[in-house]
Amino acid sequence: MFDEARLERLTSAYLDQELTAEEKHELENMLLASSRAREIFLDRAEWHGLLREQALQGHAALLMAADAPAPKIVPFRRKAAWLGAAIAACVALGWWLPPRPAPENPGMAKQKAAPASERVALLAQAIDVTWEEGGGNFDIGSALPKGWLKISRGTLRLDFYSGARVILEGPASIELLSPDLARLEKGKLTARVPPPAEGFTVISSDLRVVDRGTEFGMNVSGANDCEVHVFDGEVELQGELPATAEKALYQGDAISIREGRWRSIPANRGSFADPAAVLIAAVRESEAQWIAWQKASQAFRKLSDLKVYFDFEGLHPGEPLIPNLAAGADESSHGTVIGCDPVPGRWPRKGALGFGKTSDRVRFRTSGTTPSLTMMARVRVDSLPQSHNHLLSMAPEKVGEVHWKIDQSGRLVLGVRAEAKLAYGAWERLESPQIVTEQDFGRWMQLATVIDGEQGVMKHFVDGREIASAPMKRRPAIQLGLANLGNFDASAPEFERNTVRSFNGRIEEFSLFTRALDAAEIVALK
Amino acid sequence: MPQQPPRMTQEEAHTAAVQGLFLQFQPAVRGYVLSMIPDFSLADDVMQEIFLVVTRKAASFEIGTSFPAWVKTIARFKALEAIRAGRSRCETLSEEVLQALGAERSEFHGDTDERLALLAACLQELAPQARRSIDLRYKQDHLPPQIAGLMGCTVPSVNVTLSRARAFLRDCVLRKMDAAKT
Repeated sequence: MFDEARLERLTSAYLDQELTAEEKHELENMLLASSRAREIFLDRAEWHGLLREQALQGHAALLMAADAPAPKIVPFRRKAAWLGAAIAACVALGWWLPPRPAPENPGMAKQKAAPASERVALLAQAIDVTWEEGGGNFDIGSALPKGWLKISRGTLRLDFYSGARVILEGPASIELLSPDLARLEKGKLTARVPPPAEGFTVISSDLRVVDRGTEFGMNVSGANDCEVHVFDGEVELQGELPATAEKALYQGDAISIREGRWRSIPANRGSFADPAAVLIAAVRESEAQWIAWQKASQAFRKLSDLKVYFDFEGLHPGEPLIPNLAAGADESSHGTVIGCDPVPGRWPRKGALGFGKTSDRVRFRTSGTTPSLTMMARVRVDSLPQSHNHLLSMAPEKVGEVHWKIDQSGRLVLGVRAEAKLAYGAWERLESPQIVTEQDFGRWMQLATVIDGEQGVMKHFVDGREIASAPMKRRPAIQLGLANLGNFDASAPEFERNTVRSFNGRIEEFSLFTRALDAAEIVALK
Repeated sequence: MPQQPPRMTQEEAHTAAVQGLFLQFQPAVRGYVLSMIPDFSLADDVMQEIFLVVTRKAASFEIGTSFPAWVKTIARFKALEAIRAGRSRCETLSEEVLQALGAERSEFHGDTDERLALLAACLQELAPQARRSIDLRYKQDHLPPQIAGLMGCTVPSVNVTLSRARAFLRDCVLRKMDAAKT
């Protein structure tokens, strides 16, 4: 018998050309002695070939996508006889590929969702940040794609998917290259790298700073000016180093490179952002925002024609009632929580409700009809699992019924039932362009939709910006009645199929006006 | 009179059919060549030479007989020829071992299209670090020391990552193939 795990290791090393002479001898003896070993070896080699084949064929497919990484050019080699059928075959096999055109814009478009494989970090904090033109403009909670981040001021905390945490102090330019690799062109960063993320690397011109499980700071002030400070653990320096240069820096060590001249200096923790101070600054900022919001919320309650207002503050698990805070609202319009759990909102101290289970909802009831209606909600979409993810449904089966939802492709959709019949054509509809991509999951946004029965127009707004509008062909009176926030009642016969329409995410404010708010009002309430 | 498009002769049609078979078995042939010559770039050359021989000798292949067995003989011959000519820059196994391996199995898998499609799906399931290692190894033709340099980690850790990633991908594809059968 042979040691199968050992055979696997040796085979793997052989295929990666890593075998030492002794190991090669050992592998050969195993293969000669056992038919089973040969069988395993050939099988692994075949998978190796399949992976290479996949990579070669994959290149051909990737050429279709502009964002694809540059394929390696595998040229024809020798043999002029390779023409005709052989060329056709080669192209089909992906052996020969034209070079890929250079990408036109290395910057990132905020609205364009990068494929998941292109995302490398989470923007965990942004304090007092001013983004530079073309250097991204991301919200806290955004998944950051590969590419440049440029800020003229402020502080960012980037949580790389490798586990490394980087605090970047502006003015700064950093290029995110992979979950464990970044290029610092300008600015100061502090990287804290827990053991699982060991190997996290920051590049600056010719220098590669490779972390060995530690905390270090780096300050790049020009093309030839760079400092590396090690606060804890060890850092390895790679690249074109002078012969005398240290290849490794330990706790308390630092180097300064100015115009190609290297100098050892003591590490200076104080010249870099203190992670605790960054955290405290973030807490202070969020506290100030929360207090400002509370003040605004008091004024909001007194706005004219505000019918329903939930702020989701001060909720306790198991507490079923949510007060309707609209001025003059009576108890009968309070909401009832079904299933949802109290969770934090935009700031740690802000309350919100989490919608996760398919039964989760807040039920409330109002009455009457109105020609116009405005719905506003501050929401965090966590995923779009259903084909219809309802923010609100109201007055089921009645003419004037309202559906307010995000469809699975991330478009905001309004439906107003204009006729009683069970047909697609019975509804007035307004669909927005895509407002939620996978990249927006976990990001807070304010959604508003206006039905203006007098002007005969419907409008969608995201974060105060109008993103869609359309005339109404019919102008049914909007029916107020039984409403579900974050869900809908699946009782109507036309909804026999596809009846799970629950919302997945958080809501921290919801309001309903019996008039059409204008764009200026919506911007002001953003 | 309208001109007839040039018609393929019977011989040309036969050659095209044999070339089609080669495409079908190409990943398996490549795996076999790589088992003898781990160097991707020499293996690519040898693959092209095998294709040339297959094209030239297509007439001697009888449709209906085992194509894998036929192409394997050619592949073995061309790979050994390259090794004997000293073209390999990397260590190859001794001729005795290559003989033993050659005698081991006569058939290649013909279900490579399915495996390739499933492999593409399984690659998506890999952890980012592993995915990058696999890309650098197979797309960029980098060896572990280069990958270690690019990823800022050690060669042994790259070896482990690659080895685990391959095992994961193999299991993943086989699992999906099993699932597809039920």
